[in-house]
Amino acid sequence: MARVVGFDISGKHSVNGKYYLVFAFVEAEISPTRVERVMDVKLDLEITETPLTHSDLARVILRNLPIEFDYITSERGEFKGKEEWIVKGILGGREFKFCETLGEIELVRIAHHVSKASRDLLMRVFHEGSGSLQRKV
Amino acid sequence: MRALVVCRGKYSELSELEELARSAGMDVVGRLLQRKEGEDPKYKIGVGKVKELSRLVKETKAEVVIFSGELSPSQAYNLAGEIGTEVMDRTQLILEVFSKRSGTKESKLQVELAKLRYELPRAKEKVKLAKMEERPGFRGLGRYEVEKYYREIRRRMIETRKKLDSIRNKRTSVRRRRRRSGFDLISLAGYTNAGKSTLLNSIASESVECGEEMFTTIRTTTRRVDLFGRKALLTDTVGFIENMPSLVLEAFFSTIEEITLSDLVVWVVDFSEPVREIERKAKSCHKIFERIGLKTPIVTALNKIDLLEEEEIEEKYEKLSRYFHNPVLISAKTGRNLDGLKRAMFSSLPRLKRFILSVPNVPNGYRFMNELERKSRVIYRHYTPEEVLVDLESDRDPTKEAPEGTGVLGMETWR
Repeated sequence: MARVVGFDISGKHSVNGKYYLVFAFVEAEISPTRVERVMDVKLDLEITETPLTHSDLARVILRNLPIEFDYITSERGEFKGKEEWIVKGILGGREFKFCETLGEIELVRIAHHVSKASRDLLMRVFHEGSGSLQRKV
Repeated sequence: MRALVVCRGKYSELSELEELARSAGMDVVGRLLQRKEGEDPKYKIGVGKVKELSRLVKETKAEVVIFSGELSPSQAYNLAGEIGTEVMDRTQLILEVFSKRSGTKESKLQVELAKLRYELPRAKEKVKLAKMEERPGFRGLGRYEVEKYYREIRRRMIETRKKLDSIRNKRTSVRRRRRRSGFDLISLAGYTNAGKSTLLNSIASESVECGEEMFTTIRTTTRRVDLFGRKALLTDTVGFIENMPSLVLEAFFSTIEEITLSDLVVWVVDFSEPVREIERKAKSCHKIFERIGLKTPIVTALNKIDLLEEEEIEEKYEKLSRYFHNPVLISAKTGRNLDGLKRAMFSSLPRLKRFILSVPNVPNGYRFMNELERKSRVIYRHYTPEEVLVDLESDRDPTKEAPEGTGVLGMETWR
């Protein structure tokens, strides 16, 4: 079983000239066919006026990595279709693999749900204020 | 038929295309590879390569040119005009292989549906092009009116789907009956030519057709196997291929459904190939498993180890462990480590409940005992003048159909 960090980014499009980027990192033990145990979930936020560059992305990823893990995984789109060895270089030589097995795909999907839901919540707070989160009775 | 294979991309794609063409009964007389990335909208390959291809067609006297990837009708039309022979893409070739292999009514209908699904989005453009000028592959359409041709395809699709649905319903009821009879359902899945049919033959002592060519099996074959006392049905299914066209997956849904609805999947991998090739095929299989929504436990049978040295096996095993769940090294051909595979299959099957029953020693009780023998795994029986003590494993509560006076002495979740 491998200890893997799967990540996903939500909000790569601009909203009123700003980029509200939410990063989700899910650390888990995975087998080739499924996620066996989720160890940790981390969220990070960046609000910028320019699109995300590879160095920005690397900075955010590196500050959220746990001390011990086997490799990082994500979808190809997060690095705009760059080759695996180039991404490894961008991440300072950290072991990186695009999600290809059922376990990795499931892990990245969890990260996607986390980042998407968090961003939706964040945008609601930004636009309507924190009062909008209170449940209407 | 003399064929020429053309690919824009990787060399491995070209080799696979060549193998596919041979499986379709074609004689491959030439090959052309363009490494440059991207796609030319008019011909798919570059203009220079088209000229080279045209020269090659004349030299080799090829009757058909097969392209990897998909061709739009206008690309096929333009190419046919330039090179003067019929042009075919990879999906058409796969359908050709399937159609050649289809023996049963179901597989014939599945192939027909896939062909119609392929034709439908192209129909309008194809008819328009055929009206412009006759070219190889663009003639004999009969009715040239666009709407008529389009409607005809749709009508045939609806008819074929209806027929396939009724076959699927029959298959579902068979599956239900098998489950009710206490059988575990196990499927063999994997890349084409991995040795699934050979493995079925070895485990079930059968003689299902298996061969060197791709897609020897396109219909399912089910055989009974005994796994240390547990009754199971092992089903051989159609093989996968990289970038399997969605229309093929959809048309063969009822066959592929066998994999998703089984209790266990045995993923057969040809372990004798080079590491890169195994990796490429493993990635494709994972992608297809994901596409069909597979949630069933998997045991990986790393096949054809009789062709490898011990050191080679270890080296490959280390490099590729990321892809394989519950791996077992086997050789389906020589029968090496088939017991190990059976053990892995047995331990990955869903857990059974263990019951200790006291059945009254009366004729009614014997009938019930017969039912128990048929639907569950009886471990032990002890007869006394008044009762029969039965120790058994079952996936459901057997006492529901028990005669009056039957008692449960013990119950435990156990294998």
